[in-house]
Amino acid sequence: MKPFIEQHIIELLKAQDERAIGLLYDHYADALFGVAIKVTKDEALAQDVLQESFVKIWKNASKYDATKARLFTWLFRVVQNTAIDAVRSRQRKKTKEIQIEDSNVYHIQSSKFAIEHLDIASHAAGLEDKYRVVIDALFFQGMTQQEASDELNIPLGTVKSRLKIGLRELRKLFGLVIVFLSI
Amino acid sequence: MNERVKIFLDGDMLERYLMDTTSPMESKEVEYYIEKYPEVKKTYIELQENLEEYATSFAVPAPVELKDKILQQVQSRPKPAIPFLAITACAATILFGIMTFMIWRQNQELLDDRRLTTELIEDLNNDIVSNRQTLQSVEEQFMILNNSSTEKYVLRGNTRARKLETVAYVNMLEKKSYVHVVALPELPDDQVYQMWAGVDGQMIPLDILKITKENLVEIPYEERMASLNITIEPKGGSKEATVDNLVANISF
Repeated sequence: MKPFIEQHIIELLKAQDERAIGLLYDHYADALFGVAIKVTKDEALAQDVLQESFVKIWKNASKYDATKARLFTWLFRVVQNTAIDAVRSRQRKKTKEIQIEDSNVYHIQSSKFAIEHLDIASHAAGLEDKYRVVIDALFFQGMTQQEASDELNIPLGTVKSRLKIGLRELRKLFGLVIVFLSI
Repeated sequence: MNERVKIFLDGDMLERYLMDTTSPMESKEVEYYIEKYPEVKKTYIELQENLEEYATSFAVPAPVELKDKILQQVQSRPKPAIPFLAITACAATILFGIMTFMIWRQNQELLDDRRLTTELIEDLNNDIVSNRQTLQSVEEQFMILNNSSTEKYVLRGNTRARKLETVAYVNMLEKKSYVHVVALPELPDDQVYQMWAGVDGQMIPLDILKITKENLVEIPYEERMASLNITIEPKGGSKEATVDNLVANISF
């Protein structure tokens, strides 16, 4: 995302200018829709999630603090949480279980989100599974490192190192140049 | 790298902060590290970039019609911030107005109080000046009356003014004279009692007699004064005594 556009969208959001939503959709909807699909594994549900997320983004625009997170990070969090809530809600309806802990969403069996069941973009396929599973668990399933360690049955230290190495490998794969912001 | 920073980065707090799963206390701690340590800030920026890149790699074209639905939904929603702000602004304005009016009133009351206090102080100052003058006058009179050279003369009315009684104090050395009007019979409104000094066979007008609150009233002193006389004169007094109307006199 171009910094200028990002800054412009943030300003429009803060001013409650509806043009912000159009621009957000144009520049971020595809990525966020992909996130919603990855979490829900259901395109129809992902559409609902995306729509609900954009409304939330609009309503909570004043809460966004650009000094604490990049715009995409904030958008990602909104979509991720909305998607996790949607999955939880759907699971409740399906199973009709009386006792379902909230944390179930975060403790979804890794097999449900196993990498082989996910529609992974070809350019990410170069990442070794052991790294991808860890990154997916943390980025798309909302797990903490400890939770990922428990769910994937690998030591916490391994989760940490695989996350760091995985992220480094990702950068190589994407061939992107990271520009460090001046402090 | 700072050992503290290394320990922090080895932990998972920064990643959890990225995923918004830290507690408020942990978030504060992370924000402190990000602000204080450039390595932490750099790592956090990297994490965010990686997240964006990784997530974007799974991008799926979002339905075009969904954009219209979202825009319609957003446009149909009342903007809560504006009415709230408007209400808040109105309330603040009204409150400010009331406060301003109250402060203005309070200020006016204080100004009134100050004016009254100033007037009171002025009155008190005038009283002090007046009292000092009175005291000075009384002291002078006391000095005169106690002076061994002061002579006391009592003038009593004749048949035309039997109740008239006036005491005169004359000090030839100090050249001062006072009268104490004890009693004056009533006169018609167009007449007054006037005191005269007898000097070299002439009647010199001194003063018109009145009952006053003050015991002693200073009257003009005349050199070679040989007598004091009281006559009834037309209102305002006369330049020359009407001897026929003499009601009291005393010779020294």
